[in-house]
Order: sequence, then C-alpha cells, then structure tokens
Amino acid sequence: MCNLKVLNFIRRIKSALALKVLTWINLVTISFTLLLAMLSACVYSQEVKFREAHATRGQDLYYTHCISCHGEALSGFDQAPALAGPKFFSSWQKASLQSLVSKMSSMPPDQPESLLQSQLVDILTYILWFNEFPMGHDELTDDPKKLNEIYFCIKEC
Amino acid sequence: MLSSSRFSLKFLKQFLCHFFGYFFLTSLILTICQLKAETLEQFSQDDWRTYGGNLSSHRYSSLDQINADNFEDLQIAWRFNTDSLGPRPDGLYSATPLYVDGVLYTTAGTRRDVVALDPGTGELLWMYREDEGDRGLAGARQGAGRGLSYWESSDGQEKRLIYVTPGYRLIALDIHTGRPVQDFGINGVVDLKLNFDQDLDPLDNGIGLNATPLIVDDVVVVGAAHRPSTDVRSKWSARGYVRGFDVRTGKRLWIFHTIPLKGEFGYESWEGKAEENGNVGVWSQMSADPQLGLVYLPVEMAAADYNGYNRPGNGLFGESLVALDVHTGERRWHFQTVHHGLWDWDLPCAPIIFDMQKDGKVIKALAQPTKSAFLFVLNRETGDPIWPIEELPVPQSESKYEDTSPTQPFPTWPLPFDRQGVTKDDLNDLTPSLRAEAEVLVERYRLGPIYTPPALGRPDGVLATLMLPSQVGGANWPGGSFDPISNRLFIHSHTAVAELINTPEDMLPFNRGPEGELPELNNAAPGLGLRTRRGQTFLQGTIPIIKPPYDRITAYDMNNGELLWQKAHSTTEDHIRNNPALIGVEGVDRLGAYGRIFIGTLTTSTLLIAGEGAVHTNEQGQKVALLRAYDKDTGDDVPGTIEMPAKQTGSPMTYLHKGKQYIVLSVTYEGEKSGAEILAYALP
Repeated sequence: MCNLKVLNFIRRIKSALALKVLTWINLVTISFTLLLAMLSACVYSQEVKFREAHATRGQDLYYTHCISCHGEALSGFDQAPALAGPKFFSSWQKASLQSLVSKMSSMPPDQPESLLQSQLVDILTYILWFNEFPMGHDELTDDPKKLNEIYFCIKEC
Repeated sequence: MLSSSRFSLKFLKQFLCHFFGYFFLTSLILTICQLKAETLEQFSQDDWRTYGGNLSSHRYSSLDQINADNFEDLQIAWRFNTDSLGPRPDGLYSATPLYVDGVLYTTAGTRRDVVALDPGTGELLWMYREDEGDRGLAGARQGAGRGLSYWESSDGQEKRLIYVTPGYRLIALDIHTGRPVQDFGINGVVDLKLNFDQDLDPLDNGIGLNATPLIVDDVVVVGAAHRPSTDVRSKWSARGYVRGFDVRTGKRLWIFHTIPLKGEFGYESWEGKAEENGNVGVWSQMSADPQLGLVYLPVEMAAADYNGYNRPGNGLFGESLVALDVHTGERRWHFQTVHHGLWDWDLPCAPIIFDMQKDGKVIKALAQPTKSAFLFVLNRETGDPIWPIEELPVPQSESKYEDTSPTQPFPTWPLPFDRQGVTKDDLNDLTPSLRAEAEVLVERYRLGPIYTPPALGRPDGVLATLMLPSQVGGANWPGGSFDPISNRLFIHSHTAVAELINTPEDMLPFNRGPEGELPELNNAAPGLGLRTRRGQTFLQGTIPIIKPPYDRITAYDMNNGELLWQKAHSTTEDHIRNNPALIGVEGVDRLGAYGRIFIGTLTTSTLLIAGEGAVHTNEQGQKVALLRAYDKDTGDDVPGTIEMPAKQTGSPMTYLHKGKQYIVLSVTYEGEKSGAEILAYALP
C-alpha cells in the first residue's frame, strides 16, 4: 500500500550514468504507482545542503528587496504569493529549484532582472531555511543547470 | 541521453495521466437539463454593470436558466488567457467583468489592459494598453485589478469605461472605440497623484489602487491603497484621501480627508499626531444609495498594522464605515468598527445595502462584513445600529507606549460568521495524536479572546500571539452577496490563525532624524544573524493547529439577523488530505482550504455559486478546483460539481447573451504553472 507524504525539497544531482539507470527504475516505479493509485509522483534523493552564512546573506537581500510585499513571515500580500508553509510547497511540487529562481528573476516588480543569479539563490536559500530545511556545511550551487536537477518533490513510501 | 531519458519519463507520465483522465471523463453520466421558466421581472437583470452587480453590491442576478437541475451539465464555453497582457503573468487575477449592451469588458494582465470580449465566444474585440514605464512598475497595487466602472449619460448617448491604472491614473475610455475620451482630464487621463492635498513623487511607490472606482450619478469616487504596512516606519506613507471627480470632465469635485486636517471633524481623535500619520485609504470596493445621495466608504486602518506607538487615540476615520454626500463629499455619518487598531482588520469590502422588513416597517439598512468576522448592521440613513452594538472591555497592551483602546464595539446581533479568538478548545482534534501535538506546540504562543494585543517580546517570552481571524479575515475583499427577494445575505470567510508578532521590548516611540531621514530598524539591520522563523503553526508539517473547517460560507436572514446555515466550502487540500496522520480518518474530504484564499459568491434567483480558492488532485491525477452551487435555503450541495483547472480568484458574475446564460469568473494558476485566465461556463 503506497501513500503520499510531503517531504522537504529533495536534491537530485547524479552522474549521467547513474541518472540513466535510476531514471528507468523510477519510470517503472511511477508507472506502477499510476496504474495502482492513479497518482503521479516523482523521485528524490538526498536533502538540500546550504550553510547558515548563505541563508543569512539571503535574509539581508530579502529584507532589502522582498519584505515589503512578501512580508516578514513570508506569508505574501495581494499579488505577492506566500513563500513559506505547506501551501507553498504544494504549489511548487515537482518543480525544479531553478524554475523558482527563474520566476524570482522578474522580481521585484519595479526592478525586474536587477538581481544576479547568485543573489537570487541567496534569497532562495533564506526561503529554504525559513521553511525549516536543515542546514549543513555546503554552499548551495548557483549553477542553473545543477539547480534544474533539484526538485520540489513528493515521496512514495 | 540525459535529456532523452527524462523526455521518455515525462512522456509516459503524461500519457498515463491523459489515458486515465479521458477514461474517467468519458465514464461520466450526463443528465438532461430542465430549464425553469420562473422570472421575477422586478429584479430582471440581463446586464452586469458594476463590480458588485449593482451599487448595493448584491452580486445578484435574476437569471434562472442555470439551476439546480442542470448545474452539473455546465461546460467551458470559452476561455481567455491573460498571460501575454503584461511583462509577467498575473499572480492574483481578481477582476470581475462587466456585461453591457451585449459586450463583455474587463481589465486583464499585469499591465492592466482593458479588453472588450465577445460574450458568446471570448473573441477579443478591442484592447487598450497603457505602458506607464517606471511609474506603473512602482505602483503600490500591481496586477490586473478588480476591473472597470461603467457610466452612461442620461440620454444614453455617451458611454464610458473608467478605471485606475497600476501607476495610479484615472482613465476614461469610449466604450465603442476603446480610445481615451479626450475631454476627460488631459487627453482622457487624470493624474491621481496630483491635486491630492499632499505632495507625491510620480514615481513614489507608496500609493495606488486595484479596486474599481464607484460611479454614482455623474460622480466618480476614487479611493487609495498602499503597500503592506507592517513596518512601523510606514506611518510616514502617503495619505489615502478619497476624491470625487466629474465623470464628464475629470475635474475634482471634492476630497475627503480620511485623516482629518486641523479644524475638521475627527482631528482631535489623533491626539496631536494627525499630521505625522499616513495610510487610512479605501482599498476596498464601495457601495452607494443614489436615492439618498450617499456613498459608503469602508476605510482601512492607520499605519503601522500592528503597532500604534505613534498614533495615540482612536484615529478617525481608520477602520470606519463613512457615509458621504456623493455630490459634495460632506460627511453624513461614520461608524468606527475598531478603535486604535493593532490587528490589520481593515474594512475589506463593500457594505451590502438592503431594505429590512422588521416589525412591519421597512428600514433602510446596510451590512458591513469585516475581517474580524463581525457583521455590522446599521441604518444607512443615520449610521445607527439596527441591533445594539456594545462597547466592551478588551485586553490591554503590556507596553506603556501603546495606547490600547479600553473597549471595542461588539455587535450583539447577528452572530459572527466565523470563529474569534483562540483558546485550547480551538485546537485541532482530528486525531488524539494531533491534539496532543497541538497542545505542545501552542505553549509557544499567547492565546486570548478577540482584540488581544501584541505581546511584548522578551527573551523567555512567547513567540507570538495567535490571532483568529487572521489579518486575511474573516471576510476579505470579495465581500458577500445578497438575495433581494428573500433578504438573505451570503458571505465566505476564512478560519486561519496568524502570528501577531510581538512588539520588541526595547522599542520606543520614534521620529525622523534631523534631516528628515527615516530611522533604521533593528530587524532590518545586516549582521545580526538569522531571525526567528514565523508561520510554524502546523502539525505534522502540514495540518493547521486549529480545528477545521478552514473556509466556510454563512447565510443570514437579514430581516431578523438569524444565521440560517453555515457550511465548509472547499475540498481538503492535498498537503492536508495526504498527510499520513490523517490516513484512515473519516470525514476529512472537505475540511476547507486554509489561509490566503479569496472567494466571492454569486447569487442568482435559483442558486448560490462559488468556486474553490485552492486546488486539489482529483481521481485522474489532475489539479483542479471545484465550482460549487448551493441551495440558498439549506446550504445543501446542488448535485454535481464543475472541475476548474485553477483556483477562483475573481468573483463570478453572470449574464444572458443571445438566449444563453453564462457564468464567468477569473482563475489563477500557481507555482511553476503561473498565469491567469477568464473562464466562461454555459450549458451545452
């Protein structure tokens, strides 16, 4: 009996060979899941790693560029969506981190494209910290290709 | 190889989803509809000419082609995507279109373009686009806004559409050509940042408006909205004065100082600080009674939202309903619903105007829903309460600098339409283990009745005060709807807690520096490390700490104030429904949607209709939000629900076009699949 439970962001950076093998395993797993439960899901690997200093840099940027609309509690306002909480996770399920970063690049509305990719990732890291992702000792990459391989995900059990 | 493997996976998933989706869709049984022919001529209304359906904000239509017998047969007749109308997709498309003389008009896209659509097909007939450059991008209220206002001259020869742009300019368009009316303002435009009794930088981002103006006779009434005002420095923001303009020329006819000037009524209520404060705008929709010549302004609170250190006193006309003579701007009466607000419980929506049948008499009344879940019912001629409203003692702030009001107004009748205040009885008890977790989690917070003020932040103190309703409501900007035949009022509301942040223990009243500079705030200073997280009021990661339901619809009989029925509205969201803690638990399929959702209801002669404000996954694996219909008498679900591809964000309206009734609403996608569209539903 398989059920869904919501996880934190899941990291999925693999070598090309491992990815190929795992992808086909995932393919079969998901096919059976769909057949049995009529539910779609994606797979996952390890947790996101980021350092406290990284999230702190993101906090400074958030307070400068984002807080006036998204709020101190990241709860959103009017056009600005919430950036924290289960509803936020649910709406970004199965999307890559880079897709969120790309959307953030049009922010703030009065200065679109004004923040560097590295700054956007700093803010993303603050969002991850705010959402209680565990911190580690590694910097989260700001490489768009690698961020494209890290997903918001649902886990099958 | 990498990309082709992914492609294969993606393709197979899509194929399987589509296969089973079609399988389920084709297995649905469609019933034959039976059209009812009842009509009530006195309320016959094929058009929809204001945001609220009429100046009384009833959101009511006498149309009956769509009814309980055929609601489940509704299909999408057409859809209009707005993503290309602006530099980015809309994040909260809140417009309600107008239907005038056989054409549908609305605002759309983040540029807030004006579009004319064929009501039967959705075809674009014309579009008007304003690129306001930096001014538009800096507006305090972005997005498509809530729509348009319509005016026609008494001889019917002149017809105009009027709206406010993101850059806070008032524009009049010729309804036939979609071009600016040259004799209105300057080439069709009135700059709302001018002639405002205050000096504003055109690029100042502190003011704007996404509500529609209200046109009464030949007067356009325009409010003002601000950016969020949680920052205590926002007290120096622009003032949200309300103005009346000549609909023909754009000339300012009057201005109402929502923060009174010296010598004006209410000035003393600021205890000498009136000149130092801003905000107090009208960002909500308004209502009017043309026969009385009155317009009713639901006024927001003064800044800052949760701290009143620099605004002692009750601060009129903050959080007041104000009745003005629409031709002169003269105040007739006001009623303050919150004194010295500390909870961001602005008046969020238009009051509903109706004639009450009470004790054999007809009383000209209105009902003002609030974020705090009260329904203030007043005589609209005088502002006097219909039923007693008592000033009762409320908890006081621990800070010697906070001038907490000793009392607040409590309507004795009708009953509130949502829960107020938090005690341990409000904690989630869907399972014993969830209840146990909630009892531990809640120890971090201060609980209390409605109007419990923010706590003083101490190192060993509580994280915050739990506030219910939250600053989102209760009710919010969609407001309610009303059936004028039965005098029944319907209102959607949220049941969600918010963390009312503590006031820092070391905070003192503050002033500008010697050069007029704003003070630095500790909470924005870099180098202090990560701050305290907020918003952690969930059990097992996703389940709200309080009991369901999380959104509901309430019906009142407005002749006697009785609460007729109340019902959970939305399907349980995935992140709650699929939490392992609820596996095997009965009765959790319709707990309501939690938090920041905005649902307006539509009342017709046969049904109460509203969509859901959040999506869930259906049996086919698709993300859907349901369009629901209710029996107005009982609140029972009408057979069948309609699956929409995204959540309702703009309140529904209806019209009859070439013999067919349509229901139209705005929906918004979220997450990676962002954007918005208009959906039109009709019978096959």
